[in-house]
Amino acid sequence: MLANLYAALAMVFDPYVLAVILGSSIFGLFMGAVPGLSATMAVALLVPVTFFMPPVPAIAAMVSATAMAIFSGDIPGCLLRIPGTPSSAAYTDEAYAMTMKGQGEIALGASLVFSVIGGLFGTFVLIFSAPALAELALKFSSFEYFWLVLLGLTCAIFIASDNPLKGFVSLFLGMFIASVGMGNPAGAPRFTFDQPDLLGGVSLVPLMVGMFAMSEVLRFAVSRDFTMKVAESRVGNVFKGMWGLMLKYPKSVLRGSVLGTLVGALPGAGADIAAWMSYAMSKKMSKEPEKFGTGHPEGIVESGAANNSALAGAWIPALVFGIPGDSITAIVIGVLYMKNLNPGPMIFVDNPVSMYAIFLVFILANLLMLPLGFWCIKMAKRILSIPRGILMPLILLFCVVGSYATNNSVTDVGIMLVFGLLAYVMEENGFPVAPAVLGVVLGGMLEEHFVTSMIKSDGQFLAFFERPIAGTLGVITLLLWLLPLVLKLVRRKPLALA
Amino acid sequence: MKINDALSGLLIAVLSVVLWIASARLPAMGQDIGPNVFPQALAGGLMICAILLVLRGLRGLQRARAARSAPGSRIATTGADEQDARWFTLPEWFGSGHAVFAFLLIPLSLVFYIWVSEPLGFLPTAVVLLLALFLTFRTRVMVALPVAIASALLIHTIFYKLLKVPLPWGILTPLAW
Repeated sequence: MLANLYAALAMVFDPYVLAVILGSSIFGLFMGAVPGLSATMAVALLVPVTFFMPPVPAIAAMVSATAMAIFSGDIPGCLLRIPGTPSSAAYTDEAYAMTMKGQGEIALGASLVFSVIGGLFGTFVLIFSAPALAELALKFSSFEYFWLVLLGLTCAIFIASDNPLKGFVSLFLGMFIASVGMGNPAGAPRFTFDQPDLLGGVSLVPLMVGMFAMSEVLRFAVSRDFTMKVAESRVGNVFKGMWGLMLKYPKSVLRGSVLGTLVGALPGAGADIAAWMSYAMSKKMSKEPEKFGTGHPEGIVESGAANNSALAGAWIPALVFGIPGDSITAIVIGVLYMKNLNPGPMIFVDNPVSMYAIFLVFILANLLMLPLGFWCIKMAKRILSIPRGILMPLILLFCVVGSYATNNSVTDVGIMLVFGLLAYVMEENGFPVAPAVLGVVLGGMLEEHFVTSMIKSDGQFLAFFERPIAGTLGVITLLLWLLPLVLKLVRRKPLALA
Repeated sequence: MKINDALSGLLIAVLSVVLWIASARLPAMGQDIGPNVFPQALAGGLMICAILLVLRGLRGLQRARAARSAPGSRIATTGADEQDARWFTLPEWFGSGHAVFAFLLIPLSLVFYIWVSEPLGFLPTAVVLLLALFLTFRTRVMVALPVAIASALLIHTIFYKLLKVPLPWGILTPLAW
């Protein structure tokens, strides 16, 4: 164990890796701080660049960029009343109210300090729970995995979308996209239209760049909202008074971190949902709930910690089972496969050094957030004054080159275009995009485990319930499916009688 | 572009039928569980969703019509009801010619890139693409032109020099560096 740790330390404290961490941190801070550019988009844009890196720096880039982006999303919330990323939306009004009261400094400081604490908390849960869970997961067979994937996808739909029906449509479309090509148990080319480019399946990089980045550029094009007004506020020492907040709200910090990690670890629900739930929880448990919404730091402390801890929590199922905890880890899993670091319990046996290195990067990135975040707050006005009319075309060009770069083919630019338009139309009509991406990432895995299990059991579907863990997971999944129908019937009965 | 749930449900139903038929034609490869099983299960799932969506959309249409025909209920109709009452709602930005142009320009610029980047080369294509978008998003020419050239060069350096992506030189081949 110690030898592995030393090896991991040597891996992380390599000048090249450190430079990558620093660079992607600055990139992440910028992406988070500009409204309309999110943490997910930051990762999607990083994928083509990390494509050319060894595994550890590639993962390090994504970890540091997302951690920074989730924090810096709070900055425009505070100064402009526009959340920089969806994860900051829960407490944007609160933070802006504080700025209006002349307490912008405290709001920004609380965002920064409690982001770091939440992030570190989530990281430690990840470090201690992931290897233990992996031990358990080593006993899993294709039956357990089949249900686990299905359960994960089900959670993603019921927790993360307010319209489960449309979530299902989106998921099925994603899994259909995953079934294109020869990557199925039978090795038969499916839905390739005799295009050799499609034999290997739809390329993941242009798909994600299109769905998460290009669709955002399209939304901007019709928003006609090209400039922004920054609220006047002097920002001095943001760390002043933070120790006081820590002593005043220790329970909030702990509650936010725990809830955030748990929500993050649930498949499909990420930092944004963690922040909303945590803010609501904070208000409910507070001694002075009437102050919420008027510029009160308690909610910011709790949900600021929650969204950063969710980020680390999402990595638990991603690394142990290969099931993404949110859309960011969905992209990360794609990258892990490209790097031959196939996620699953064996990753801790086969690549312990890489795993320790990832954990170290998590700790390092969260600590680095203090000085870099401080600097970013100082620079905020200048960052926010960059016109989005200049930024968005640059992002589009980056999308184009990034899609082209993975296979050096313009076909991939076409794929990006198709999926960018598809994601735009879907979101306009209330079909969430995240389940589609989960479907693309997990579709192949689901099919493989299903077919393997069916062959093992000679086509007996009951075998899926015969092993204890598989049976339990299966029953839970089926209950989750039936629950909304039952609720609907129960709710409708009194109406029918009346 | 808002499509009524009934209409999008119908589209999804058509898709699921096509998917089912296309999967049924896949070779069996000598297995009981052939490559057709999984896509057909997906098609089935999509069909169920499609039926539920159509029902929901029709119910919305009915409710909205009823609300409209009922006397004195005018005040009660909200924007959402209004949308439920139509098969198809054009986005509010459709009224602005500039917004429509900006929206269409994005896919067009990508098609332009796909067709032109090989013969013309990355740098000129990127500058034209950026310039068109900058100007559409109301950036002054004096700013747009230098920024377009500088950022095309920067992205070229990152991907061509640092990441070794063979971006095409096109008409600039004699000058390649």
